[in-house]
Amino acid sequence: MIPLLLTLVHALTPAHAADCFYVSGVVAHTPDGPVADATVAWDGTRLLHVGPGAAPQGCQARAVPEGAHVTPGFVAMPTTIGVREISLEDGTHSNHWPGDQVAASVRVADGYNPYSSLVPITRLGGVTHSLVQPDGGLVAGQPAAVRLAGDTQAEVVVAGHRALWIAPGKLGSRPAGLAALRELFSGADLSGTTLGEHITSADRSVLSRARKERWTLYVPANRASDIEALLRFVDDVPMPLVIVGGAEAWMHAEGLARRGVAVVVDPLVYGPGGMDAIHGRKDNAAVLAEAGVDVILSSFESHNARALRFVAGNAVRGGMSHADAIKAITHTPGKVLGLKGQGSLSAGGSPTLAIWTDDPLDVTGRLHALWIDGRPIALESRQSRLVDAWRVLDGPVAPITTTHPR
Amino acid sequence: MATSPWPVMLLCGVSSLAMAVEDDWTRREAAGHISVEDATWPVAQEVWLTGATVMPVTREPIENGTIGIRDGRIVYVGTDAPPAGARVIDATGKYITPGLIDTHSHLGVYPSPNLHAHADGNEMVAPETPAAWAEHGVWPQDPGFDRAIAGGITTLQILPGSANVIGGRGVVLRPVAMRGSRAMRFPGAPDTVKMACGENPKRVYGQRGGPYTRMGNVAHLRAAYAEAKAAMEGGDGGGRKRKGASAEGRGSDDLGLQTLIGVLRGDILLQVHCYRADDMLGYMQVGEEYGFSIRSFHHAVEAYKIRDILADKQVSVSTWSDWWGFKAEAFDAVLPNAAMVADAGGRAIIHSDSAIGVQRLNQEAAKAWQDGIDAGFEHSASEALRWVTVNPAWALGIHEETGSLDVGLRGDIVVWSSHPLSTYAVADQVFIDGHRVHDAEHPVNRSDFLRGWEVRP
Repeated sequence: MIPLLLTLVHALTPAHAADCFYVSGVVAHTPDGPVADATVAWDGTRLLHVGPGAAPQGCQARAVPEGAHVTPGFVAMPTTIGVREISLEDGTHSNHWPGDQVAASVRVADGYNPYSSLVPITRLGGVTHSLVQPDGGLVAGQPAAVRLAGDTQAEVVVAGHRALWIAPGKLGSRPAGLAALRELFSGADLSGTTLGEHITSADRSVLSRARKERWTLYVPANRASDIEALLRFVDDVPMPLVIVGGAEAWMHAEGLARRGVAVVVDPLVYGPGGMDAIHGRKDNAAVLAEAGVDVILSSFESHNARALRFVAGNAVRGGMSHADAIKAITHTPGKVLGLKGQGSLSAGGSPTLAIWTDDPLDVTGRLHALWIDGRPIALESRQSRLVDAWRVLDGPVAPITTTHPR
Repeated sequence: MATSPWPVMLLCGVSSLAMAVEDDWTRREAAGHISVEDATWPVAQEVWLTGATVMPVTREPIENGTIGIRDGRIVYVGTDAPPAGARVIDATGKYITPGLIDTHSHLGVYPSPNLHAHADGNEMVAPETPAAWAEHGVWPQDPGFDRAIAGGITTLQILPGSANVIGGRGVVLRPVAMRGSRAMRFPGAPDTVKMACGENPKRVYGQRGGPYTRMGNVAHLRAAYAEAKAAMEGGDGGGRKRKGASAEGRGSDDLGLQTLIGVLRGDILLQVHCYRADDMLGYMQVGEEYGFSIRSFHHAVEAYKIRDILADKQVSVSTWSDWWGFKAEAFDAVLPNAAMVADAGGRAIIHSDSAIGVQRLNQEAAKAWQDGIDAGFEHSASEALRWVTVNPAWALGIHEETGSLDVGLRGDIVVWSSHPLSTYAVADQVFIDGHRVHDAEHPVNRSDFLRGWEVRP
């Protein structure tokens, strides 16, 4: 078991910084849109060339299928990758602390497991980074931005993303939650109140720093009126806001764009799934992008975060431009997470790239190769190993005797 | 031909009903299926579609093909021009497939929006509730039905949830909202029964009298069928005459037994929620012990491990393209599951089990198809389409009525904007029994729930 895990996690040996590679004749998905017949070159530390023209001298060509596409690694957010191995098994959860209404000092990063089976599985969808969320009360804690490659927390947790996950509804009612948040961020002394029982001195210090340093607030909200109330909240308490859900966000597109509030939406969900999403529509993401809102697309799934590219494809099906949909799973979430050099395919950026046989937003596009920060990633996972183990059924499946040399 | 209310006849290959119309069991079934609302649809206007790539799924696609529907049935599939004067829809550049069929839906019984008051899918009062019928919980105003049609779904099986070892009867519906669910039934489709193995029953009943373990699940299942078998044979198995058993010894007034006897007779088709290979084999053993066969395992994420046995025993596999990990018994899922089942000669089916997935079941089939190719289990596009058409039709016992574009079958078709195994394909037009029930350019809303929300404050 141990050798297997090591093989999976260590993927392949890191590329030598001096080695440089290139692919040519590809469609390169840059921040400015797709570039046809492009060359993309990189070494172990950065992208050297993206666009028309030849690769730098001395780089090795990597063969790609005709019609290949190259994208940055995708960013899945929010997820519980690495902190929730099996949804219905509480014992496998390390991001959940029910009952603690104010857990500002709790960092999801401390519970993150880089060896989670979800990591290699998710990578096979071209996903290279994720925002891992806490799950708790009013102030659920500090989410973690992670890279989906590497052996230790120290290696994979992206430093510098300072954020809090906030859920006003968890306090019992949404207005009560917002009222409590105003108090919390104003530094009011809540000792002696019900909420005060949850606040440690560490929480108090984090809340104060968060306010002062303007940490990003992630807040789930779908209903237009809830989004409106949150916009007023950040007018009073100026902090960067990311609306998570945003089923009816299109109704406040202008206000969101003006304040630079980002919105994470699932373009597949309009149904309505709940009473807070009655006015959801399939072109929600398209309308938001059109209005200049920072749109992030998400499946809101963790085990299936790998399907992010199909979610983006469905946003296109719902009216979003292909370039905007790519941006909404690369550049925009990369910017929100503060992933330096990630999320865009441009010279000088990090060599995190996915090479596809075809359009990655369509099912016919298949992952051909994946590099994360200059390291080639083996296209394997626990699931691909299961397929290999059961590839052939001939007679009794389990060997009765072993032929393994002793 | 208009669709007809129950009971006409159960479809061939499934039922002995036609030969035994007079027995007690059959008489009680007929009484239980009376429709108060008139369930008869008007006969659709004749229509021909031309110029499309027609994908019958039972044979090779036809370029620049023509399909004709008269009296609600397919009367022509080929390359000829339509008859002079016929009503023709130009489908040049489009793709035509059979209407999609979802074997696993909870539309209506867990409708959207998600409200406690509308959660009518799990009769979680006892581990066996074979007397409960899903159709009695279906809310026809669920907006999800229209969403499903817009995704090309023309038939779906609504199932009770999987809390119970025996959850009750499922029902095969057209997703076209009528005033009551009875009038939405697929004409003549056999009833089905939902059973479940594994984690769910033991989780729900572990602290409520059991079953507490997988052992208990199987013990409950055996006890239920032992009783039903005894009732069917006219006694309780202990030599005593059973209360409720009919003089002819063919049935029982007990409604739960009525259901289980239907399963033992082969008139009611078994749909079993089961994830793990060993759990599936366990329930198949009970079937061999008491004389029932399982028509389809649902979810079945480990079907690939027993695909040879499932193919040999003619058990179809209703699964997802990629769901996994939400519970321990779903931890060994693999992407090419459906493709591996098909590779072994089994009937693979892609189901949704989701109000979201049902809106794009073609994409789910496409993913499973491509994942199979990646893993070395390659199939044709027609085979992939069979996973959401003729194979689910077989699992529901309606494959001689719908599920492929063969002459004589019902006029259930979808006109796609592009190749249906693409993320971008849109169901431009959907026909059921020759009626155009969806037109992407002129969408209709049949759900009362969605009316009026656009009224400005």
